[in-house]
Amino acid sequence: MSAEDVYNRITVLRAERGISRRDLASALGVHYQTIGYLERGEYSPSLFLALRIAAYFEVPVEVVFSLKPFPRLGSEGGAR
Amino acid sequence: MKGWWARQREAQERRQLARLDDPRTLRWRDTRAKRQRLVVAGAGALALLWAGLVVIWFLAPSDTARNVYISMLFVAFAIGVFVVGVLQQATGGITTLSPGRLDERQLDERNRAYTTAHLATTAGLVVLVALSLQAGRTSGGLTITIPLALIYPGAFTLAVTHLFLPLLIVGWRLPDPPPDDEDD
Repeated sequence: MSAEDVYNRITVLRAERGISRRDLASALGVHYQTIGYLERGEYSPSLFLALRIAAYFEVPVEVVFSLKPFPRLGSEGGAR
Repeated sequence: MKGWWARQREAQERRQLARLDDPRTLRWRDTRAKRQRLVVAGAGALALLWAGLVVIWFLAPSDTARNVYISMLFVAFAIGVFVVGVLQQATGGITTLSPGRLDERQLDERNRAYTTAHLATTAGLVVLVALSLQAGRTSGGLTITIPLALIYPGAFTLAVTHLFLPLLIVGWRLPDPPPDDEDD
């Protein structure tokens, strides 16, 4: 992994809300394959697109994107 | 109000967009390995055009030069039309559609391809200048003879290389598209 990797939770957010790649792409005005490349981490979005994705899901941008890998579900607070 | 040229361009792009999802060519372009094979075939067609110029340089004017060049041109054209058509579909028209129809990832890819193609053609031009200087030096005078038959094919080959190199670069680099949601 390179130092410029940007991790994201688009797949999780999309699945949680039952939105297809094509629907999300259409709402954002991008090619549907771009969503797939974003999800696979093969493309890092511009700040503008990142903010639009966060706005679409109505969450802060840091909920969708991070410079560190997101913890797996269930691993947060597991020590309690 | 849009002018005639803008309207024609828009109509042409709409026709192109409609052709981009042609499933008949999918078996030629659905994996990266297949696309890279297409790029190799396209590069071979371009190489054939350049080889034709060498034939003209050494054999023109003669019937042999004409016949060999036209045969090479025909083969390059047949391969080129197929490769360009399928690669245009594989790449989603990244190198031909107007910027307004592309998203930021596609524009990035297009810029990268143009930059690489520019570097490649710059290297080609440097080689051409070096060859010209060498030809001038070995001719022993201030004049060298260039067959007239080289001028049009030379300009044509340069134009074709300039036009299609970015497409070959995008076709080579393009990763496999993510599977559709239904395939996840």
